[in-house]
Amino acid sequence: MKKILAIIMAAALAAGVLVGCGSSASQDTAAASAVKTVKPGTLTVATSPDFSPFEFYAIDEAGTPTLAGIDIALARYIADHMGLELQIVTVDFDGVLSELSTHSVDLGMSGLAPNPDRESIMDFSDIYYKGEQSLVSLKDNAASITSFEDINSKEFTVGAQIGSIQLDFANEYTPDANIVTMPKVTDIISELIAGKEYAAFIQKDVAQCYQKNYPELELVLDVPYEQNGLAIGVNKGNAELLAAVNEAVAAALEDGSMAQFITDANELAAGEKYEGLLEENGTDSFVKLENFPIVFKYAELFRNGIVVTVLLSVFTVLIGFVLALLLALMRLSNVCPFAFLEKDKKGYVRDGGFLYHLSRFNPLSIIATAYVEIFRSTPVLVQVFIIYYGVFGIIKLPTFSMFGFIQFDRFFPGVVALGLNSAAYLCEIIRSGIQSVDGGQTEAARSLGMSQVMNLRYIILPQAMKNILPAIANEFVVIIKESSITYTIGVQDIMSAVNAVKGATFIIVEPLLVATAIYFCLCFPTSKAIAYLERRMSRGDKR
Amino acid sequence: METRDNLIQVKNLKKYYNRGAIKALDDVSIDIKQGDVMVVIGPSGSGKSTFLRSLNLLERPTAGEIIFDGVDITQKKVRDASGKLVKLDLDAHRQEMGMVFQHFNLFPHLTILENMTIAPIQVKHVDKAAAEEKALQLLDRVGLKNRAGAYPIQLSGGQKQRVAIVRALAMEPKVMLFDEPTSALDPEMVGEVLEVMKELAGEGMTMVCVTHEMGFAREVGNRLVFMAGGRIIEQGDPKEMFANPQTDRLKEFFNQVL
Repeated sequence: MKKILAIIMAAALAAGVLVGCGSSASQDTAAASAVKTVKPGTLTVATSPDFSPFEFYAIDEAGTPTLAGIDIALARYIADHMGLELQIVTVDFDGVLSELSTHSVDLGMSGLAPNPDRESIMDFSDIYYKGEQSLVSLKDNAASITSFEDINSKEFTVGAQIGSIQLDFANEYTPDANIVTMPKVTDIISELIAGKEYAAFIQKDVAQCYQKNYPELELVLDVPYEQNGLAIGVNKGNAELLAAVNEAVAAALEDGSMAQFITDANELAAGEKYEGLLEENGTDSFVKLENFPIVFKYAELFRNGIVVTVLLSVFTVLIGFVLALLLALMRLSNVCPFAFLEKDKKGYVRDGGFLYHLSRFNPLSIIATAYVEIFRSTPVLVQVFIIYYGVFGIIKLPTFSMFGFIQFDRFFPGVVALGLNSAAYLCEIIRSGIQSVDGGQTEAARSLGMSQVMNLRYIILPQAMKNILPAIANEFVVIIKESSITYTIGVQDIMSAVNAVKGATFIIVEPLLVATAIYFCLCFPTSKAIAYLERRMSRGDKR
Repeated sequence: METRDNLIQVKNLKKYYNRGAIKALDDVSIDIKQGDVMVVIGPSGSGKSTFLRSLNLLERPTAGEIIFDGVDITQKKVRDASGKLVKLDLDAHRQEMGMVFQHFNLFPHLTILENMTIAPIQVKHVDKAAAEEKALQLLDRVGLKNRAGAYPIQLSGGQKQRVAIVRALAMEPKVMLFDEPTSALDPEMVGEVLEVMKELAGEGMTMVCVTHEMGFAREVGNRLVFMAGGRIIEQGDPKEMFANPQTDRLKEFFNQVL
């Protein structure tokens, strides 16, 4: 038992060291040049690449998917203007807002329209793009919508992007309609075409882009909006940065760069979609074979996504398993600080009453049980957000990339969050495995003079592990699938490749099918391999 | 002066459940001397297994003392040679009490040889080669040397129990505790296990044996203890007790089992 305590102490110490390192690193960040940035020498920009022509993945001349669009070009311009290295972080649109509110990035460039609510979490640059807003519906419905009032009732479903200015319009102009929010504009378009939404509020240029690809769409109404235009979200309170950005924006507008960016992006966005699709891309067919070659142009994103997903799963299982073993041992431990209350006045061992329960009070077990119950009773998505924005919002991680495409400061919190979550499930698996070993085994081992630790190590755990192998395999497969949730904090896994393709090409079902095939190819052999291992291990004990 | 050859002294041993409502052991006191072959008999629920399992504290008694080799092993702390209060090393005392279970409790994931050597190697830090040599000698004694590489599942019940006995012997215990060692065996295998136990008794090993084998109790044991209702009802020389039981309880018991 002493050894177990020692392990726990060591773990606590290690955690302390990590925290220590983190805080010293953040102090380093504070010391920077004239304009302070989150990472010295680098301009970190968050964007949500589902918003063609502002930001999306385009296939470059070498056939590689690369970030492109008006915002991306402008970001490059600003970084050059300020003499900084540009680093782009891709997340969901609401992720862009979260990144800004936690001061994790310098700028948010994702077709942001300034509004008073957002000003509490970010400063806005001057307007760099005069955009207009529109209400989009299907051509067939167009005649029925002459004003917002026509759709302002329960039977109409109206879509808008989560956290977007368009959602405000929906609430303002069609408050009585059934308003649904989706994380991505592509999702809204699919719902419109599928008839699940009657109309949706979408930024006008974006809507026009989609309309080129989906001719059945129609921009039915213009949305009146005073502050028509887009601005850059700037890390709140950084006046020097805001001034530098405004200066760069002014320069871009002045020297004609901005106009060039818009033209380029529109051409590029159109080029991504045209590819011979336009005529055929109707709603009559669910899956089009000729769409797959276009999806495969983004193979590199999928390949990187596979590497990320596999690494994520492997590290998650490693962290999860070690922690789970520790938790399981804590749950089964017998360290009772009030054990001296065990005997009553007569010297008899108690077997009931308050003092009996107090003498059996086992804090380690209670802590482990609480951990397991909390992690099993809350959604993993919430845990991922709390770990990423909460814990690692305070503990600053070093920013470097592994293999050139995995950002450590996102990957690591993802692994930690998934690992902590999976530890709760694995703990229960391990505990049941230990408890499934016949009690006679422990009696035999202890009667031979083996200590509790020896018994656990040589007798109980080897038998327990064999019993729980199928359950662990199952958990591993679950983790491979569940790891896709880290997309929400900008880990570039397989799902992020899907979203990138959806955002750039407007092809929706086919990339999902590719992802389905990839997940299957990862999960199926994994469970088969472990089933084989299990058969081999149990060869000796067939009756 | 206390007799020097008392190996285990049991004083006022009690095991209560439900705050005294159930008394599995009700004030049991007995001395076990060096070289004793004590056979404990009694109806089921008489507390004989609880008594045996209390001797090496697999069962924690509610109250009472178990003085093994001069040390009260029911205490958490004991005085060492210099009179200092130190933590009792229960594992060290347990090594000296070999135990054989009704259901053998061999380790299924280890071979017979590994079953025999794991405790000597890990607990007594015996060199692996020496531990294996000794294990093979012991296995040879019970005629199972050729099964050293087998797994427990491949053995018959009688073979398993013989392995369990020599596994305990490999730790060179001062006393061997047998908890109904033949109850889970097919009738034709009982003999081979009793033969090993008889041989062991002949070598002078101190043994405490809970059993239903009345033949063994009469022929091999030098002391017989009859328990019922958590108490020792009668004890003495086996042959005398079989010939001339003193209490009605014992007479009734013999009527049922003989």
